[in-house]
Parts: sequence; C-alpha cells; structure tokens
Amino acid sequence: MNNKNDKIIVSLKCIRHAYTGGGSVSTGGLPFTITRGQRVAVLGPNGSGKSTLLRHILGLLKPTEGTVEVLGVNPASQYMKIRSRIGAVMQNTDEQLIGPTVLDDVAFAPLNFGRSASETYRKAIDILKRLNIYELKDRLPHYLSGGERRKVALAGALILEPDLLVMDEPLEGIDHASRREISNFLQKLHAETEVTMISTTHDMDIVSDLADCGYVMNQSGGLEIYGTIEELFFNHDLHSFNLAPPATVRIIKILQRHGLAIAPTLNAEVLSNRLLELLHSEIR
Amino acid sequence: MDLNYIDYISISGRSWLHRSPAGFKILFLSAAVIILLSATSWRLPAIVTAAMIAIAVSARLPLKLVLTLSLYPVIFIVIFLFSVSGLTLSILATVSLRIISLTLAVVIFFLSTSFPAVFAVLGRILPDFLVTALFFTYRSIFLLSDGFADIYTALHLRGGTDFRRPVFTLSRLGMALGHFLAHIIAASQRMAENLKLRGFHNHIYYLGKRYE
Repeated sequence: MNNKNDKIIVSLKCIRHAYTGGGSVSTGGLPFTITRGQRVAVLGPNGSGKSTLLRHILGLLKPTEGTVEVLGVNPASQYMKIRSRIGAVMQNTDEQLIGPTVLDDVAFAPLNFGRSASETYRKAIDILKRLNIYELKDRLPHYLSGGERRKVALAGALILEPDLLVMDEPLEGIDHASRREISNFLQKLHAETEVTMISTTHDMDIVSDLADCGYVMNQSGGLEIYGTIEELFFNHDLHSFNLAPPATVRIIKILQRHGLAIAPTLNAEVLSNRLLELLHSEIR
Repeated sequence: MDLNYIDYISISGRSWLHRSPAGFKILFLSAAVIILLSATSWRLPAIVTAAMIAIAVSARLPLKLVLTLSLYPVIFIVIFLFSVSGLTLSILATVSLRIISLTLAVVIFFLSTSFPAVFAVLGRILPDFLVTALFFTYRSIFLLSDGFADIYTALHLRGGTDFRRPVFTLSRLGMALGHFLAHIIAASQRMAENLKLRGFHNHIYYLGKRYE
C-alpha cells in the first residue's frame, strides 16, 4: 500500500459525521492515507459519501467520531493554517465562482491570502493561457457555460500552486476534447510539481488519467478496496459497487475468459497493438 | 424587467459610451442628477431628456427598452397628480420631465456600464462592507434567477402550470416556491463554504486592466 516513509498529506481514520437533521455518514473500513505526490481517485456509487469525504478533508465538516489530519493539522479547527496550500474544485461550480470577472475570480484566493496584485495577475494570465481559456478573462462568471465554469474553477484552484489539489468530479460536464486537454494538463502539472491530487469521479474511462491509485467506497460509505487503478479494475469485480470498468478492461476480461493470454492495460492504443501482435503471430 | 438582458447589453455593447471610463460616467450621472434636482422650469429637464435620448441613440442602445424602463416612474407621477391641488401645466411638466430624465440618465448608465466596472469605481470610494454587499446582491440575483428559471421550467414541463385551473396552479407555484427556498438555502451554504475555502475576508478585488 502506501510507503509509510513518505510524508503523509492526508490521513482519515474511522470518521463518522452526524447531520443535524438526522442521519449520519460513516467512512469506516480501510484507513485513508495519502502521501506526498500521490494521485488518488475516490470511486463509489451515488450516495456513498465521496463528497462527504472530500468535505472532511477540506475542513468543511467536523467529524462526530474519528480523526482527520491534513498537512499535519486538523482541517476543521485549523483550516486557516493550511488553506493557502490547498486548491479545491467543488462539484457545483456555480457558487464557487465569486469574482466580478473570470480574471478576478482566478485571482480571488491569492489576493485574499495577501499575495501581491501584480504577481497574482501574471500568474492568473499564465494559468488561463495554459488551460486554454484566456479569451474568457473579461467575461462575467454567470454567462459561462458549465464546462467553462469548471475550467475557471480549476484555474482558481491551481493559481495557488497548492500542495494538495482536491477535486470533486472535476471533468463532469466538460466535452471530450476539453476533458482530454484538462487531464493532459493535470498529468503534466503533476509531473512538474508532484502536487498531491485527490479526486472523485463517476467516469471510469478517465480514472486512469486522473489517478494512479484509488479507493472504492461501498454504498454505506466504507472504504472497501485500495489499489492501483489497474489492480482495481482487473483484480476486483466493481459491478457490485455499481461501477462499470472502462471498455478496454471489459474487452481484456472477455478475451481472457476465452483463453487469450493478453496482459492487462488501461490504454486502448496499447491494447490494440497487443491484439494486432497476436493476430500477426497467428497468421504467421 | 429582464435583468439578464440589461446586464447582457451593458457587457456586450461596444459603443463609445460602453468604452467610456465608468468613473467619468458616474461623474456625468452625478452632474445630471444635481442639475435636474435644481431645475425650476420644465425647459432644462426637457433639454436633458432630449440629450439623453440622443446619447442612447448614438450609443446604439435599444431605444424601446430605454424608453420603457424610463417610463416606470410614471406611476408615481400619476399618484402625484392626484395628491396635489392647484396643479398647473408648468409644474406638472417640470416634475414629470425631471423624473423621466433622471430615470433616463440612470437607465442609460446601467445599460452602458458593466457591473464590474461600476463596482471597481465604487470600491475606491465606498466602505468595503457596502461594496461587498452590493456585489453579492448582484451576483445572487443571477444565481437565483437561474435557479428559479430551472424550477419553473421543470414545473411547466411536468404539467404544474395550467392557467385554466388557477387554484391548482397557485398550489403548485407554492410548492415550487418552497423548493426554491430550499435551493436558496443550499446555494448560500455552498457559497459560504467556498468563501471560507478561498480565504474571503470581506473584500472583493477587482484587477481590471491595471496590470495589462
């Protein structure tokens, strides 16, 4: 599992959150431990508590039981100490965009944290260009499309150059080309900065773009499985969690059931190359 | 009154008036207000009204909308008519033209100046809490109008509006309003959480074009 010698960025143990209106969400099962530089996905069916888990990490919820530690502090009581080191993209970006214009919104958090206006402006322009949304800079947030809002929210999180990036369904509502563009950008960013990333997603086709490993939550909020994304898809039956593996995994599993020895991969191009090699060797 | 449309015109317009600095327009508006309030005859307000219409036309503002919005205060003029005795035509013309030209000036200002630009100027002269309150009022109007439009569309598509059955429609609108209230509470909670996460401390920054 995780290398304990690495610096732990996030640690959650047996948390339970009771809502004032009744009902509670527990995140039991496996300990949730994220070390520096990891890219982790939290997967699970609707209502399993993925967003609640992220809200605990962001200090927006105080657990009734259990412990939460983020960047060495309890985020619910000491969030002020770590907030400039955390970038967050929430599921509903409508209320996340606050600045009068896109540029102002991207610059919002760094200016709140006392960073200089000229430096923030330069960084905001840079991040807008890197995310290919520079042309939106003078637009008003309420006139943006859903996908554009999500990209602006991501820019607003990334401008902080955070140690930890928390993203709740970051690519939801974004068209295919932009999704590819953003996931490539996040991969490049991770390679450059080793930022720790935690994301939730329903879309199994993009999990491997967003994360190297993942936790699977069951319907009652328990963290049931942990592993690399390949291990999750190839060694476990995720259908029982209402999760359908990507097409490449389904194809490989069908071929394996029919006795074809084909090595697991999540990459469609790699899979087609392996199939072509097999075909050629059969012909010969 | 379609606030979205007014907002859209103020942002998308490219006329000389739209491009003029917001500070200059605020000064011009303030001067117009002082002149109109001190006017004692109908002639000066009439000249200002004509000038405002000329400005609206030259700035390619939708004249029908400008005039419709400017006529909103007519209701107050009618109330005034009934409440004052010994009214002469000259007094009526002075009061009416003063009110209409004042409204025209304000309408033209808001149709040609985007809110962020207004807010950038206000941010320099008004206290933080007031500017922030104004800004959140503005932002919330759009968030809430979108939310209500969605709820109303859902109600309409699912047969909740039938104006031949007013009692039924009213009860369904009441349900929609309740749902809208829950939506407002949830949205405001999410906004408060986002403000906390993004380090908000009662100040909205406006970078504008200062660093270009």
